[in-house]
Amino acid sequence: MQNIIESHHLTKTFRSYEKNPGLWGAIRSLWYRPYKENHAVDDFNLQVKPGEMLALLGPNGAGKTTIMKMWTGIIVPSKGQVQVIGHDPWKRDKQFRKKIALVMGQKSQLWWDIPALDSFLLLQKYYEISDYDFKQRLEMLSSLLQVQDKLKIHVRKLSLGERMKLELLASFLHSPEIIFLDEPTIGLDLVAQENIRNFLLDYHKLHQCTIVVTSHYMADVEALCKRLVLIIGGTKHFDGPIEQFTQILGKNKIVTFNFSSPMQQSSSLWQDFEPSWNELRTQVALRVPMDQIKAVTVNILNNFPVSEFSTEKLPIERVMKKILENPSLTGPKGPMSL
Amino acid sequence: MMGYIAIYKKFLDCAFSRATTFRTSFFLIVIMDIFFYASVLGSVDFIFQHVSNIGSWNRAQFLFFLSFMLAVDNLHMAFLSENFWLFALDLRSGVLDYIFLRPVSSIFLCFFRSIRIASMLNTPIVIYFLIHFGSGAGLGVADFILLPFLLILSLFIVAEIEIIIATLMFWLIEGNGINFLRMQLQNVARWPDFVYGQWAKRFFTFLCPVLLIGTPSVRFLFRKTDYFPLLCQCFAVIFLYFIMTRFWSYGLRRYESASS
Repeated sequence: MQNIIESHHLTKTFRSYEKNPGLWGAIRSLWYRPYKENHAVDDFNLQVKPGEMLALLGPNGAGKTTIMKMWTGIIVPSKGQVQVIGHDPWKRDKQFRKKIALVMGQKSQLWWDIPALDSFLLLQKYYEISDYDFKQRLEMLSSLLQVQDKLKIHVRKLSLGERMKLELLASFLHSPEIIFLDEPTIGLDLVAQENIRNFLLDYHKLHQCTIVVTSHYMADVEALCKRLVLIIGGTKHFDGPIEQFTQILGKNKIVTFNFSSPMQQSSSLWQDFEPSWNELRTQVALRVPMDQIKAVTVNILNNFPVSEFSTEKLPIERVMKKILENPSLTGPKGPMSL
Repeated sequence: MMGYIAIYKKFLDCAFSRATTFRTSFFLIVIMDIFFYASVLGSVDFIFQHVSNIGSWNRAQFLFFLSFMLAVDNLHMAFLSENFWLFALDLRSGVLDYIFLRPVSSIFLCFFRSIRIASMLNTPIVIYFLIHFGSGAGLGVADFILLPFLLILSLFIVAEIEIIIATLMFWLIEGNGINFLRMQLQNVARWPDFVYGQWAKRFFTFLCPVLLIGTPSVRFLFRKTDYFPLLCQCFAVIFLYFIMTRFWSYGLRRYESASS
């Protein structure tokens, strides 16, 4: 199957200068600007197949948004090749722009001082959507997002969650082939986050479009995507299924024990399993290799006053945290890079 | 082309929708524009109470020229002006990202999307000035038929010059300096070319051709043998369009968006 996104050695370099604080720093910066180059994205290679739901994951400043902006043609790569749906994005062909959509959780595309419906009607003209299609899609999307009663309200009067739903609606109106979502659930409460995730899953099921999402919420990534790409410092550190990502630290599970009285943290029993204690020292979470779970659990049950215990798979957050602390676990020199 | 007309109609709808949301601001802009027209015409009228001619033009001719420039200014305020301020803001905040995603000309979306309805309310006033002072300056029926085309030609040249200047914002990012420069150039253009010295006239005709905005059209209306400046103006419209589109494409490649 032909790839819908092809990136080869994609690089983006930004130039910025350092300015000393204060009046003298400001005056001096008029003629002296020590510029430095920052590789926001460095030699990035990736292929995406049609219909995939892919997550770009990484800390702040990792280069996720910059990659998205290059894929959508907003900014021009400094080096490398990129093809999206067979187009060079930065050439900004009209046909290309009709096939993509970008939702940015921190920027609004709706006109602030008018009802969202007015903005949608404008988008209808931009994308040359027929009246029949527009009506149908608006009905379908507004009912999926449950915002039928919000369309005629001024955007500035809406809550963040409602606004985000309308932002999504605006981006999906022209039935794009690829949808880029840059932190679509940022700042939303848990219910609103879940609503957005459910909408995206339902929409993907119905239309089989390609969705690329960046998010700081691991719940988004786990709920939406099967494939995960980890980016640190502008380079790819991992590319593969989420299950494989959670096994970077080995095949482990988290076993949590609750005790009827406070425990001594110094006991040698749990020191090998990265113990994470609560403040009262009545609960500990251990990262235990799968093949030792039975033995460790039996041992603790026999030797400590355990009131309750549970096991769960290793949370993706924990893997991320470990990798950020020690990027060599992945990446060009790491064992799990693909 | 029909697509762009449909989009522009929607821009108008949105502008009406927005204008009626903030009613007080709407009427303040109407009043502010009227004060501006009165101060421009009143100050020149005052000068003509003490002199009979400025250059080769008498009071009626000079006031007609000012009315012509006020009409260009009115169209500029209604259809263009606000977009340059928005462009500066959008460039810094990264809102332009969405504009560059649309399958529509980015120049069109950046500089023609915001329309100031309040300024349109004053259009009949400037049309009245044009007719009143035009009749006083001896313009005939044919001249008045030609007048709307000359106004549009002048508006074209203003738009092109200002878009070229605004494109510099891709490099400078901070747009206030550029926008104040635009406003100063509008002040330069508001006077006929003969009030300027030789070098200033050359500079503002050939290098930064703001003196081609109004003077050629008005001179032609007063004297039909004076058509060469008008030809220069037509040529400038085509030449500046070429420069504008090339420079804009170059600027787009410089766009770095804003961090989220």
